[in-house]
Amino acid sequence: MSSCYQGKLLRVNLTNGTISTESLNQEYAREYIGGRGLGTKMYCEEVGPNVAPLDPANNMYYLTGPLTGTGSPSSGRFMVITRGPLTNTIASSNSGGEFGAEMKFAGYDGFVIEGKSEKPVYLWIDNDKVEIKDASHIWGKEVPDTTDLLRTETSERAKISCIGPAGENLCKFACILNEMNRAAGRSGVGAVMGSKNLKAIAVKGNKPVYVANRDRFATAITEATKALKDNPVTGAGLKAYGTQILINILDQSNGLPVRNFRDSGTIEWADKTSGEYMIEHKNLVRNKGCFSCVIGCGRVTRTFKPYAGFGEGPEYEAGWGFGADCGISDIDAICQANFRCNELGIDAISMPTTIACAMELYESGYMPKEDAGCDLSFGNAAILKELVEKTAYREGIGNLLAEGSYRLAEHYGHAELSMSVKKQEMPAYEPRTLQGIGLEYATSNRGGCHVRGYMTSPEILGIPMKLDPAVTEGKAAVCKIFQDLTSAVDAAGFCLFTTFALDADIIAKVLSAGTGFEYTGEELMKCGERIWNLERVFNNACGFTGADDTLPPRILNEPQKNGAYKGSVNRLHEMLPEYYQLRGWNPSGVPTAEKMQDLNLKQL
Amino acid sequence: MEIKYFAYIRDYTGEKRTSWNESVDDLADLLRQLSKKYGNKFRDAVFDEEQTDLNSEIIILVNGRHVQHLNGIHTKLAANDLVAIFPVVAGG
Ligand code: SF4
Repeated sequence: MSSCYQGKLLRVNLTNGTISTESLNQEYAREYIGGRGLGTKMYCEEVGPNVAPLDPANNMYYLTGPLTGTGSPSSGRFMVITRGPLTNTIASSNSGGEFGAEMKFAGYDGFVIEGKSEKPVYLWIDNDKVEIKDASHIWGKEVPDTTDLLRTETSERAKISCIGPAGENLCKFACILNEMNRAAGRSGVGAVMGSKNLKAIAVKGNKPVYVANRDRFATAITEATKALKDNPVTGAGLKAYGTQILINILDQSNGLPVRNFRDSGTIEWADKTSGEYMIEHKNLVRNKGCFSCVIGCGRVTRTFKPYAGFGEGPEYEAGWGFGADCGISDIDAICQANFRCNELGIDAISMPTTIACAMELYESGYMPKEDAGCDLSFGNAAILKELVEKTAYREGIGNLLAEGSYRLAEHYGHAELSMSVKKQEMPAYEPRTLQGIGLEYATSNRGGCHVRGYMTSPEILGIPMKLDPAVTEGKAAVCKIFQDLTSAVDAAGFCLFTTFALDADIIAKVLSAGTGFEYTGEELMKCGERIWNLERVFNNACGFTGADDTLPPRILNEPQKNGAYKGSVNRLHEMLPEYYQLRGWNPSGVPTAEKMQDLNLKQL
Repeated sequence: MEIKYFAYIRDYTGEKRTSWNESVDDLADLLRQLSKKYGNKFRDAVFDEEQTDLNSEIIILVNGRHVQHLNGIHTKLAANDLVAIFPVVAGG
């Protein structure tokens, strides 16, 4: 039977140089779909909870979703699944761009990378021909140079996934850049790649991607495309303004964290850092989309003196991070720092939030001036670029910044100033304003993260329903549904932004017609729930407990000082017990035997 | 009263913000007054087709709170209120 899976995985062992292929396990594919789900399942089976993130035995799984590389709209994604050095949890980082589709065209659903090479290498995958090649001459190079050089060396048509100096230097939040500007961004997957001495993967292919039922698939993707085009967010807003448009609405809603979450959720100059301002100020050159995307939210941007540069982004979370979170109002400095993150291979959320933490440590007198090596006060735009570079090369204070905010703050005896969950920094939504996002952050399986549910959608944007951000009632149920849905969407290869317009039923139709496995919307949600629970079971086996499902003390205990939510803290205790109950977990956050059986899961 | 506009609503108003000193009863009243000033495009963006309720593709905040969680289009307004008007276009 034809299907949109290629049915084949590539396995490369960098320790002994062996290269092999194997068939996709169809049973796993049915239950875990692909991408994040299948990768986590394979990781749990093959590696398990007893391998440290930077140990050569920590495998990396580059996995596409079944829809990746098909004509399905906005579904060209792939994921990198491994155990992450920032959090020590399972780390699944999602990326757009063109790389995922090219993996499929080369004939693979995924690559499994094992072991560690003695010297720097890269993989060159040209359809069935796979080589491990010397990368000594590109080790140390930044992402744009690496990408260009490898295209010259392999093929102009090759798609390149690589790390920058940050990954080589094992920065704990190094990312992997795909086609220069699309990142598998969070949790330090780039450091895992660096620890293997693997600089890059170049891939090219010309194989077809079939679907199980062409007519049904065509009908389903027509319906999905129409829904995406008719929706105000996916049909117009994201294309016109990109995600940086969120700055003003979060600011006006008093949900914009300011200066390491120290100040309340609004700042008078927010508009100067907004998506609207970037158009007015001529930062925006044009918009850009990933493979098969009908939304096209990406931004090609430029900046002006004294912060001149050219690149892509920032996404809202990075723009907020270098902006309001660092107390910086200069959009050119913000964009330039984001460009440097992409060029050096650093997560553009954990970088600025770690700098914001350093700024508070410095202003509070906990970090000595000699350590800082510069004026680390909030608002000092001139130091951003240098701090990003120092982090990538682990120079001076950068050596501590490269450990992430938690280890940095702990070093100075004030771990409470790290605005992180499970040691990963929380992004751009104030949990004392948005109660539900607090629950989402606390329970995310990879630490502080906004794409493990996206409660901002109902709490601020009113999609698909309008929930009052200030109330806790009912949030646990919605959070669980969003977490399960986004797990399935990640696994399928769809971009998460499609969920503004597509519900589980439409996604299930596309997936069924493509894969030949029949899913109802309900079954799709169950797959998502299975993925979520497997991640949880893995984290629990690594030693995480319910006590880790928490938020920084500031968010739980320090009331907001002014604004619409003056006096509020996050009331996690009102949501968490209900959330555990709805999940079928015991009061310590452990899935019950019945829940495990229901989802066909086993203890690790 | 201060009123702020965002995204393409600014194309309809031609300004980012305005101070409104007329006497205003509730949000519906304010939006009617503003529609007279800015014209049909603005009116059609903020009101539904019957012009009795808010357009489903608009977000209006009064002092940082979504009017849906206050009293919707009938939310009472006072002289020193801050009103922010956004189209539903954002995602991130
Ligand atoms: S919506 Fe944006 S991030 Fe998602 S696939 Fe399209 S261009 Fe890429």
